[in-house]
Amino acid sequence: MTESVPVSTLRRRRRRVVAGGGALALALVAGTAGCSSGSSGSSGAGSSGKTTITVAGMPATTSPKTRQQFLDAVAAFEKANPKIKVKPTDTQWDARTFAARLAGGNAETVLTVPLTEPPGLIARKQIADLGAELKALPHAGDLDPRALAPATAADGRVFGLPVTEYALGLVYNRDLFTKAGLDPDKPPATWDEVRAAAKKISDTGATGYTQMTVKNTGGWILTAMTYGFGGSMEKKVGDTYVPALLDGPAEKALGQLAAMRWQDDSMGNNHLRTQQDAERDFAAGKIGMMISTVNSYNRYITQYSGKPADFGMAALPQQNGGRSTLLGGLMAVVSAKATPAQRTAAVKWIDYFYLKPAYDPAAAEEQAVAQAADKLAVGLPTLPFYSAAVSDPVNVAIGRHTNIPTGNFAPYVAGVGKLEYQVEPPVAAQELYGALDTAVQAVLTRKDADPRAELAKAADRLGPVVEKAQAP
Amino acid sequence: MSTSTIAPESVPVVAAAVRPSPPGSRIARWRGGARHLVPVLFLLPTVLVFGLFSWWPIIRSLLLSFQQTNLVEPATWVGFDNYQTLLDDPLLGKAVTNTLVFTGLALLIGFPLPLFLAVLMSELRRGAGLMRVLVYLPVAVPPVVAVLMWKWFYDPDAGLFNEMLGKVGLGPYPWLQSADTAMASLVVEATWAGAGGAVLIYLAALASVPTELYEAAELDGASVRRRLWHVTLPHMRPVLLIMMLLQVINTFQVFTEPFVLTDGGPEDSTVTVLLLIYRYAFVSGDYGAAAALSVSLAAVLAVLSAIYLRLTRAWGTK
Amino acid sequence: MSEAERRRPITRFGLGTTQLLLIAALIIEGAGPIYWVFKGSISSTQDSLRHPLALWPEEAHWSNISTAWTSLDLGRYLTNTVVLVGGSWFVQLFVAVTGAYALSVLRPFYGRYVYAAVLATLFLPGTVSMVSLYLTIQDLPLTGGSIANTPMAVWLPAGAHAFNVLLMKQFFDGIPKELLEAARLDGAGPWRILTRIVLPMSRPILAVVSLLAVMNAWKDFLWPMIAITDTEKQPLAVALPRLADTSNQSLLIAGMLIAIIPPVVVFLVFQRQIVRGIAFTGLK
Repeated sequence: MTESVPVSTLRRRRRRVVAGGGALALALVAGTAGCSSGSSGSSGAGSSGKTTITVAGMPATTSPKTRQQFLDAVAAFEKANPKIKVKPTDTQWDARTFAARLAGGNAETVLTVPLTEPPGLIARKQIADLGAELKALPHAGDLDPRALAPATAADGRVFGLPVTEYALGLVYNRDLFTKAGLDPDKPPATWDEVRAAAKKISDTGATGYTQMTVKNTGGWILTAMTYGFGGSMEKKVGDTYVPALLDGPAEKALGQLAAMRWQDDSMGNNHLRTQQDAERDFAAGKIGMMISTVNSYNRYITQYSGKPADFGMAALPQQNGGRSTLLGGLMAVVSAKATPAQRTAAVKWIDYFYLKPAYDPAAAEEQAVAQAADKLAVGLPTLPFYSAAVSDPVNVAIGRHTNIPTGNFAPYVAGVGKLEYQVEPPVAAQELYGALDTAVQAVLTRKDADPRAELAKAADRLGPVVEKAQAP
Repeated sequence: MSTSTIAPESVPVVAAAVRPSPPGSRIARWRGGARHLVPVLFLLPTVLVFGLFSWWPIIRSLLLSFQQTNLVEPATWVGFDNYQTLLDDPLLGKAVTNTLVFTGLALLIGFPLPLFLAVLMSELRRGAGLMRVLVYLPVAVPPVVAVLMWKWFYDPDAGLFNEMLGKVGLGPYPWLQSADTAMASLVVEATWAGAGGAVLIYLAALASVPTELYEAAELDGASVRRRLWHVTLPHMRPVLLIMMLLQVINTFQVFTEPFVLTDGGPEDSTVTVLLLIYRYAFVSGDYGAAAALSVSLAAVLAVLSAIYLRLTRAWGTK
Repeated sequence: MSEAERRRPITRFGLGTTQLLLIAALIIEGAGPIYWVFKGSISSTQDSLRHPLALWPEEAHWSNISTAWTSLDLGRYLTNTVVLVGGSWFVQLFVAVTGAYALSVLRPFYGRYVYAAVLATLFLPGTVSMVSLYLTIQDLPLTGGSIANTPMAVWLPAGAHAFNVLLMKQFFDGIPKELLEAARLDGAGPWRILTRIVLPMSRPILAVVSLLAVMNAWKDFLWPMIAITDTEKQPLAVALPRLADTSNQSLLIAGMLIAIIPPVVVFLVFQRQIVRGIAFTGLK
């Protein structure tokens, strides 16, 4: 019977099988091939002699005005630079995925990253040296080295340009201050005053002072506190950095937390806190004080619907001869996989979009108008990138569109002027922060935890990591 | 789907044509060029999917564990350096201990409880359907939601547990907020979320105990407890052993609970092996160390899985 | 317990009491927490704080649920979940059916090597190779592109599930060969034999594999979290822990309720099949 099946039938049958059995497999391969043409950072000059760069940092659809402003800027930039094609993405920076996306050729050419990131990216050779391109920029000589410091390598090479920068400070709830009989216009300036204020606030039922403790935020905030106690987290011995956790200031900072937690009980009950849930509870009026960033005000307003009038901000409290604070914010960096042409184009874009509003009053004003239209904060006290001669006219232009309770930031502005800005610990900052999370949690959850012993444990753990990170 | 080289009515004809022949005999091959191509096409999805998403990552993990890479420049071979990094990290010992503690506590709490429930439920015959639904309901809740739910119950400010215990004059307990109690709190949550499945499996196993055995035992005058001990449990031994192994294999990979509830804290008391792999890779960007730890965990799990498969096969052929 | 024993009055009394206690305990353990989420989702945050132990809120805020739906954008996450679950289910079933059919019915000479390679992956749970799997989806061999942040990144790896192939092949092995042989003699091609004979006879195993596939995909957390970092494309299970840190408590709890409802309804509807499926896979 089978012998009599005509050949044509067999062929037909085979074709049907192809269509059936292999169809999905083929479709899958085709589908993945289709996806791959998305954003490829490494594709260099096109056939037309155009250089294509992909740029992250486009605002999300939830901020339509600033998003449109970003797209308009892209169009204007392309018009001014006909040889450059810009592909914007609204992919958020994600430390987890960056390296792998870079490896797959899917990372953007220009990325905006938090200030915690550049040292690690530099050490892993994942971002490009921008020194040569930087020199060609307008007002390059007026750039404040402090603004470049977070992305400056130990040998002086510059790997990133500032997007927005600010000093960490004490965020406090003015309403809770008033309820506790404290003067909201005279926030604590020393850690002893913080402790006293926290006690008074906690007597009213709210949490006096809150410390973030997980996902490396515990170490981050403890580092800021340690700067406020006049110390640092890493120091140079000979040519290499070593942890400086046992030098005293870190221990004092941790001891301060222990006292507030166990002697005063002014830190509430929850000691496993992320930045998000601390900010949420602060906006809900449950927290008196915490160390946070200037731009947390944006989230306070837009994400957590906090009352603008209740948001108070002071400079980072100082004690024991400390007079410095930790710098936070965003920097623009360029993928190490970018070709020289792409790198030049990338720095042009960074200059056009991020630096120009810091040296050109008209550009600054345009940006401020868009931000105000999206109900984003305009006029936050950030760190100027340029010397006063260049930045003062810019600040005047932005000042015309301020939509924040400027008076509430006055204590911050007054205090921060007297402080030095310090950058993140230069070697293995994330690992350092992770190890210090443990120490902060220990002090806040175990009454008999000894700050010095906890720091010693962290130092032991960090020793080999810091050493390995500096290995040639 | 197009119709029809076979007319629909020919199917019963086919069925009627069944004649006994030795089981497992291979179906005769089709003729022509298609006969080689057809199996290839049918196997293509399997080979592609398993090759790309199972075998290649396994091989790659092995390679990666002997390499150092920033994923930008070509990887360099570093011998056992990554494994040395693991051994130098004080957190590794802690993660291994924590994982073993989780596994141990989960066996201690989570292993006898479902068995006890299953025996009780099979003895009490009424309401069996309702009990089954109730016991399995937690398993239907997505694990992440279960975890968030318990986070809310454990909440140090107005959590259900402390409020309830407070009414009878106990507490407040720190639950997740202390290195002493955090891991146990995770185990209680995991047991709640997972016990239902085990109960159902035990119920099925209990139903398969031949009633003659019970009757014989009863004729011998054995008490309920003795029958349980001498008839039921021996009959259940294979399934118990398998469930135990399965639980060990699963708890060795615990991640969601510590990741969502405590992020490894307080004081690293809930850092597990998988959480540490995640941190090496996605927080520190040390893919070599992450791969080395993955390979080490895989070796342990492979041994356990081999035992598991041997047991299931041995039992299945009985 | 024997029938004779059951009839004794003392035993009956004891049994009855134990029965009531057991059911009460199971209600508190199994349904209690879910009810608590329900109650929490219709209470205001203030109400929950003031009367944490009340069984019913002072005032039922049914609007919480719709507010949560819109303000947490739950519709989007739920849709994402359905897309991921549906695709994973399809890929798993497709791979298992085609692979098992080739291995069990077509049986090419190299089939046992493929089968061995598939079964060998049972020894290594997927989580241990997740880091390299992540690198793989970022730069897929053969096509060279990235499927991260697309549903493909969840769908395709889901297909590499050896247990499905094993179950399916074992079931296909049990189909009488004479049936297939006769069909072939009638001139049926391999595709026709699959769709007209093998699949219709395999409904029970298709149901079991489907249920397992859907339940596993719905519950998955770690892999989707790694593979899909774009928050707008994440499934509910990945989005909820993130929302948990940022949203108001009563809204979050309403969100949790919404995440619980679909799987619980599916369970209640298909409980017989699910219970049978679990017992089946647990024992085999």
